[in-house]
Amino acid sequence: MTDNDQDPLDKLLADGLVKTPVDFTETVLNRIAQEAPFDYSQRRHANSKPPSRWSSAALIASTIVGGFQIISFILGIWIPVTAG
Amino acid sequence: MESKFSTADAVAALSVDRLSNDTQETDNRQLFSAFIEHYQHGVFGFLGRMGFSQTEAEDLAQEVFLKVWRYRASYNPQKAQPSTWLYAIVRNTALNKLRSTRGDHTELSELEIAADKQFQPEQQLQRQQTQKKVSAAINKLSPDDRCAIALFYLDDLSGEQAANILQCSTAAFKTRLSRARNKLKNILNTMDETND
Amino acid sequence: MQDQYSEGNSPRKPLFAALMSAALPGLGQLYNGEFNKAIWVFLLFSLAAVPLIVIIALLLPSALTLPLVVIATAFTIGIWIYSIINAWRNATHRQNFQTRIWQTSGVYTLVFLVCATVILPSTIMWTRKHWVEPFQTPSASMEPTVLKGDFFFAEKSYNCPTCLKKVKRGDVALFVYPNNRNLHYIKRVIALPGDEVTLEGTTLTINGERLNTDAEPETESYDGNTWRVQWSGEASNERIEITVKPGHAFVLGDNRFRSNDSRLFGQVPLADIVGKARQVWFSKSPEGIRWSRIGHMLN
Repeated sequence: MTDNDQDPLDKLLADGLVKTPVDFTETVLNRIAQEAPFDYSQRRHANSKPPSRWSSAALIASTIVGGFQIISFILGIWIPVTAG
Repeated sequence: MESKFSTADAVAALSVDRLSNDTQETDNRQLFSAFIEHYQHGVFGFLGRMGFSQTEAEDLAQEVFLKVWRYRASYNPQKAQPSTWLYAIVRNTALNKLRSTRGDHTELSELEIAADKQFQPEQQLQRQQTQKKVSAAINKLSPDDRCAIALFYLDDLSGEQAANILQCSTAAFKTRLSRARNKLKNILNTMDETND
Repeated sequence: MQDQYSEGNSPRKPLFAALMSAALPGLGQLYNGEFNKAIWVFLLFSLAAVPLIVIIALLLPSALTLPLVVIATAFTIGIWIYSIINAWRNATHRQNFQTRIWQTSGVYTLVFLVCATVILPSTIMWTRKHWVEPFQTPSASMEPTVLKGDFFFAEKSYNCPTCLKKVKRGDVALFVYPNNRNLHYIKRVIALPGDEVTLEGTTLTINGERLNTDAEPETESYDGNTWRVQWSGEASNERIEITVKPGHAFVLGDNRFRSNDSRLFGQVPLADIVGKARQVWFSKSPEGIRWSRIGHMLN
């Protein structure tokens, strides 16, 4: 969306009333690096521990138990009682 | 630092957090570096047209790219083009700043307006005066008017995208823009008259 | 804006989220921080799916009962699957994530235990006890009305002060077997307290009124209800003449000469009559599935 710079005002507005610092990119990268590592492998481990054996076992156990509960809930209305 | 990544690479990597654990730190830096290099000029131009001083603009620009980095996982390439997404962030950051610090931002000292080597000292002085004047004029406009003007001069943003960011129709954007520019010209003329 | 990026970032693991929703619909959504959605998914799953639609089915025309319950079951399964897939997907989009204060293993466990082991089973038990319960009968004593191998739904909102329906003569009812209270039986309620019943040969009368005719001994009717009975097998010559005791009902199987009913085990206390047979949802004979009986209304 460039306008043909028809007058000095346009030129000034387009060129910018403030200047881009030469080292801007470096500044930003350094700031990011301070706050959080760019290295993903480092970041992942820094913030989340790999699941322990116990919590994996607990998750699997509760998924199985939960799964059964859910299935028996869904089928619950269909399990017939015997009537003589 | 010669970047081996194009802006397209940088934007693509930005949009989905899919850099694997094997990716080197330097690659990530270079990817984002390419992104910053591509957009920094536009961002500063925008901030200047919003009426910020040099110091303010530098702080805000840093904040913008930090936000881009932090929330890159939320960028959905199917929902918006990268420039639309980016300049929406820039606009929000600018508006937040304007809301929180009311008052004139044209505390421009001569030192702040960086010396532009291509001009002779005399011309430089004149240029600084003009910049100061235009900045002061902009500071008399409403934030929304400033946005319209600020978005207009961006190379990598179409009229439709700008309208998108402002959440209005393209026609409404054009109307707003021409009104804002007329207001600005009137203010500048008034300033000229009072100075004469 | 709080920095949700550096320390404190706890990216969501899609497999985790999916398994949690598999264990309990909505739990994966809770893990993804979608508190409101978690609640709605669970609510929809547990309340709207089976119990509510079953209740509605009881109030709407009977022909809709079976289709609605089938739809309800399919809907419930659908919500479960949606919950799992949605949890997976949304976890992948939440790699920059800061956990809220309530997102701890303790909370997940508590929610799981309360919902999966208390709320869900209770909902089913309540629905079956008070609204609708499925039965099946291995007995031929109610033929030709209810066949051996029929699976049917019984209305449980029956025969109580706040129930929808009251006991009427001619109802095909489910009751507790007087000689063994661990068993349910199904027979037709013939007479209520104070009625005088006589049965001789193939002639049944209630309060002096004969239920069938000589021309059509297999069709009986009383007070607006009509049903079919069977007089096959070894005929009995006994004459029965009884007055129904207060608080009791006299029941007979439709397969009159092949039925163990009030003639043998006596009158059934009214309080033990718990349901009214409504609609067949499946039927199986030794020869195979009786497709035409599916959806058949029982009266």
